[in-house]
Amino acid sequence: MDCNQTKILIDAFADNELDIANSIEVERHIADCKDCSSVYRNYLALHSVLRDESVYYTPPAELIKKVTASITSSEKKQVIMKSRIFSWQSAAALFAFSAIVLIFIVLFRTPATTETQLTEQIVDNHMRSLMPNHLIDVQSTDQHTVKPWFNGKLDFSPPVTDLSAQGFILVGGRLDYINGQPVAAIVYQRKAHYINLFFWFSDNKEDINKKVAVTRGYNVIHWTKGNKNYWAVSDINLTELDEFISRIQETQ
Amino acid sequence: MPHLKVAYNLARYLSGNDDDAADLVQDSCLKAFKFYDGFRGNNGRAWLLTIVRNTFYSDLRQKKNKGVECEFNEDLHNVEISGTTPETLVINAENIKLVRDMLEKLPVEFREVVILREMEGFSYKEVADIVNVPIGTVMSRLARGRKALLKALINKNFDRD
Repeated sequence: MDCNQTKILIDAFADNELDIANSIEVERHIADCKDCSSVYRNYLALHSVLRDESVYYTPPAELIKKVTASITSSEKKQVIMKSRIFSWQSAAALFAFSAIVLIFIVLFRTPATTETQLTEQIVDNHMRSLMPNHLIDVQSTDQHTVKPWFNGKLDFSPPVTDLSAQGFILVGGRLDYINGQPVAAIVYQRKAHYINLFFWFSDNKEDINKKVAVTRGYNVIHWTKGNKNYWAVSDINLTELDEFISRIQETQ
Repeated sequence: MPHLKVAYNLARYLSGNDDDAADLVQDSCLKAFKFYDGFRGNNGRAWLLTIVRNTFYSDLRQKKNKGVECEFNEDLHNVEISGTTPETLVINAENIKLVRDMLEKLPVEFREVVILREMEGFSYKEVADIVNVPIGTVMSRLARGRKALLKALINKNFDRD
């Protein structure tokens, strides 16, 4: 390293801002070069002069008092401002709280809503099953043909009962989809009317004996026993549907 | 109030007199306090000095607009970097007294980087952040400021000899 290069780097070297490789080079050059070492020593001298206490200006005591006082007074103002902000915050908190309460109310009402929605779904699926070629996947009046048909299609075996003696003819079975899960639909016929009996398993809190709903002219009756869910839907009158259900319940 | 001393030293060197320095410090401390919630860095000293500096320059701009003349020392702006054979600076009580005067006569852009680096010990990066110029500019201002100071101090020494 020559003098010109050193002159460029000597400030950074004196300030400890030079990388190690260059620092070593500069140090080596300073050790050999009288001029550059003189420049370097001047920098060190200047540095110690500038660091001298007498060069540093100290604030008058009066100013320290004044600044502290003005900050304290503005601190008080800020505290007042903050308390106002706090009231806004509490209003916001109140709003958030009422929103949460509202959500809870909605959630509390949810079971009823889901039941209504489920009834709607049941009726929808029933109506869809009545469209041409949608009613049955397995056509048979023999319960021993219909029941095994579900094997491997569902993770449970639905109850299939022959009720032809009671006037409810088994027509067949169908896979359906309700409430986000595959269910069994067993189809019966009463004169010209079809009855869909939907069946699936789910966690039920308590048994429901019989719950009747009428939606869009269709009668829907559902009951649960243990974790078994039964939903019967048809356009036959309620008395006949009720009789059908009593027959099914007898066999379970 | 921490860093009040540091703020005053810079304010005093920037403004050049006690009264303006006091006003400058008071303004800056209030600003710093007001905006403290918005301060996200970890170097409170650098932050306060940035405020002192910005306040000084915005006041200066206002004064300029009102037609107050600003000194401009042509000689000091044309400091020669490549000096002649360097003389050795001898430190004694005399030249320490002179340093304040010399420093105050230095153009303000050299003065502030010398104060921040030499007196406050900020790194080049920190000085660059406070002064809001690239590090290269900090380095060249620092080099020129130091050369000017050394030249002035050595010349004074020789004058006295």
